[in-house]
Amino acid sequence: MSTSVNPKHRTFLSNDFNSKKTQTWAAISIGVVIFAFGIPIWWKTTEVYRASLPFDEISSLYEDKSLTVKVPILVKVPENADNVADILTNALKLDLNNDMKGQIKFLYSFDDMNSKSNKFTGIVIRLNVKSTEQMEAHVAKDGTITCTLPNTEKNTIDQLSLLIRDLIKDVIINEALLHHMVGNIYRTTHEDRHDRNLIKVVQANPKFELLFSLLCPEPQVQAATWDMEKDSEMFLTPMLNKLQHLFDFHVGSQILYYTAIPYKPKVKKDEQNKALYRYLTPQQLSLVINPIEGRLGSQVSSDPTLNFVVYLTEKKFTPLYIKTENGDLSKSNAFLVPRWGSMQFYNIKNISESNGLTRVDPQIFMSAFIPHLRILLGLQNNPYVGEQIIFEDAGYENIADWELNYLYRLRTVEHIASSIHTLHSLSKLLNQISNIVINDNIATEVYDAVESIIKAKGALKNGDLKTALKYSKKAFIASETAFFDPTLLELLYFPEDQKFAIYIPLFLPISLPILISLRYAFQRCRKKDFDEEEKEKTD
Amino acid sequence: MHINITPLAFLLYIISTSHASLAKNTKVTQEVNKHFSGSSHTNNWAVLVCTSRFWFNYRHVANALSVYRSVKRLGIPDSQIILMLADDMACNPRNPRPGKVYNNKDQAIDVYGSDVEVDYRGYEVTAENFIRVLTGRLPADAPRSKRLSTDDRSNILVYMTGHGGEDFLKFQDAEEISNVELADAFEQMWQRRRYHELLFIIDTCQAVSMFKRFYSPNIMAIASSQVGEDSLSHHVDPAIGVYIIDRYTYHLLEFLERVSPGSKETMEQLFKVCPKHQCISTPGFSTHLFSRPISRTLISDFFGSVRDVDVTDWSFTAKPNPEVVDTNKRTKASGNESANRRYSYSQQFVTKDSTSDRLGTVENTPHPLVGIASSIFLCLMVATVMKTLIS
Repeated sequence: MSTSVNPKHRTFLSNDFNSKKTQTWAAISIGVVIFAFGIPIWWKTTEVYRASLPFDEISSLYEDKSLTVKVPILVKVPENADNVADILTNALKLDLNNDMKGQIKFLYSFDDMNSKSNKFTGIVIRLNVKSTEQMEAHVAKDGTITCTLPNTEKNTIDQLSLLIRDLIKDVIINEALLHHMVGNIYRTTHEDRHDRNLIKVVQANPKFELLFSLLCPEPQVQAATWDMEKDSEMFLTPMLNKLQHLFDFHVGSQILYYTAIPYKPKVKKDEQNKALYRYLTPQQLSLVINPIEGRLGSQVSSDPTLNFVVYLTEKKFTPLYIKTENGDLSKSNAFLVPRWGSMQFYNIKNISESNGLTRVDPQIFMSAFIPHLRILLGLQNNPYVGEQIIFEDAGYENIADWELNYLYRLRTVEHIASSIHTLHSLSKLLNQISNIVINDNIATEVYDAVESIIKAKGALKNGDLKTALKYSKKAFIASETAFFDPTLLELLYFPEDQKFAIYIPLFLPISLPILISLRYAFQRCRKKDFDEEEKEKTD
Repeated sequence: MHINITPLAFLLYIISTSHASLAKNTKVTQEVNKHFSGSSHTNNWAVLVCTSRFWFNYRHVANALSVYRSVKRLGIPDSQIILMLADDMACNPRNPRPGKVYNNKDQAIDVYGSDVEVDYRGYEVTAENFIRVLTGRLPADAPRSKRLSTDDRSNILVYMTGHGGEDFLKFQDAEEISNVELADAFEQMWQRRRYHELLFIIDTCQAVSMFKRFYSPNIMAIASSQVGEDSLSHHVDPAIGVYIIDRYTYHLLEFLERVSPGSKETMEQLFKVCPKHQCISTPGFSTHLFSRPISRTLISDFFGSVRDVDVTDWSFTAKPNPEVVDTNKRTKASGNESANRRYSYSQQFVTKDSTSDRLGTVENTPHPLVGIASSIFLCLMVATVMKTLIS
């Protein structure tokens, strides 16, 4: 091993490596690598990842919020009265198609080709001419309006047309609530405090948990039980099956012992039979559910829960009633809590006979809960248009076909509006907040949502409610997934000064020598050029 | 004794009549409020965050628990309170009164109480988790108790306490949340209709700086101190050896203790809590984003849960499905029916393999240092190549 350096090598080192030329080349090459590769790589790797999104489509969807809902109407008349049909159709056309201001345009069409197919989701108006004193209308479960007229004079038909207009606009289609629903989502209508109906309606969600709880505050005195599996099969399943395309329901039940409400009912003497009874006022009721809420365990399910609570009144308070706002005793002894559920006070009539364990009568609590569930889902109970209009009872299914169609329309417009609004918010936030990450799977969801919205809008325009609902639901789920995806929040916000604080200790020690040596290199190059020029001149 | 009865009765009479007229008045104002400025929310939520750890920050835990106690007492159920508490002072070995956290040295109020449900504890209390809770971007397997499942009719109270500075609040000495981040989180909530109205209260140094960047509607904010001011603690408890509670929250709790569920106190009164001579710092307020007048905004709109119930009813009789046989008759007929019933318990834990979307997992984005390291590496490589080429 020689410790001495080869003299040739040494000269090479001293002459070549220390020569100005080598140094210049080295400086330039390092500079080129830093600026051509280093900085772009750093830039690329620290960049917030954003997959491309259909911003133009989203903004055009948002700009043009209008929805067209087509409602086919079919007028059927007795065989020899075709002219009556024409007169009524013309009158209805005039009455129905005066548009309300809002994002939804209702298109009542009278010449639908599909009217005879199974897919028909519109309204059938059937006319009967009979010698009755007054005109009458009967709304069947399937949405057929059967009108009975005393005569076929133009005056009568005009009156009938107005009546049908009110019936269709206010109940069967319920234009106002649909407008409110959409306006509320876009925040275009000012918050309408008078519209108490919409506050009660739960927000769209593909899945709901229906939790039935039986509360026995003093099981040592009086205990109760139920057979919820059978009860729900008997009273609830037909209704839930009917709603299966809209929501996925899971029914749960529980019996809770020693779960009492701290309340002090007021005592009053009955005028008629001089018996004492106790009652609660709506003001008292507004605080009643808070103490038991935690015990219900409604948070076990990861889906929104609707609570239905049967509270077995304590023996010392039995019978206990609740009063309505105008002071009457509630018939169902139950009250509705908007978007939460319903609660009923259950009085056991004859404790001594029940032998300690009473079976709660499902008919009593279901009679209270079913109307409340209907309200929570967005339906009206006991709609009233006029004396002349009678609605057929929906039977054990508790939802008529026309009500189901109405729910389809309501939830479709809600889904569409909500997903457009979500996508718009997302694109707006992406512009506003620079550190939101968009991964490829999110972009896919967004594209899916946009596509489904367009399909749903098309189907709604054609009056095809089932398809519209299917696509709108898809769009709704996709847009929700995209917005609430955990990966959107990978990076927290870094203020500019913090970025400097991080990068300066790293970049300054590297960049200073490079910049200085680059400067020398350039100077040398220029000098060299200058020298050569000088040389040429002297030559 | 005998003499006293008449004036007493008279006094009682006066009290009862005045009470009656008062009740009448409140009923009228209640009606009026309902029509003009009543909040149209249907549910109340609270997010209470203590961002400090360690024994010497006992007071911050006491702060958060004070508000927790109040909102719970005033009616917000535990399922609607997200409590983020970094350290468990009640069970700390240094606590001479195990299982208890008091609001003052006289042990007046045990703010820990008998039933505390902490949703995020220990190292789960991070700025990221807090933002995730607010914006709803939690992993799919997060239980519902850790979620802020609010909607467009929810009123939310957000209370924060800890060590802060101008424009930021520290989380456990490890990270911080800036006011921009917080404002953006609230904006995302508003955009996605996750709140109806929001009350933001913060007890920290330079607290006002935390809400000055807010830009989303319907937010009211209260802070314990101005920019440039420190927020001070109330007093030392010799038994625990550290400060026991902060001034602002001490007086806030004192005020809230006098409020009863469903009472009619307004925000205006809350704004008067802890004036400068009590707080030493100057509490700051922001109402310009809030749409209702504060004199008509009830404290129970945020601190309680007064539900708007509906007792209107219909004579409706549920009709049984004719296809199903009545159980009563059936059980009488065959007693063994109950043996073959299909009961199932509701699913409590999502069993899906969720290791990939845990909190805090960073995918796809390389660390910034990777870029720098790779560029330095490239430089060295090229320099070596150049060197060999030249030689």
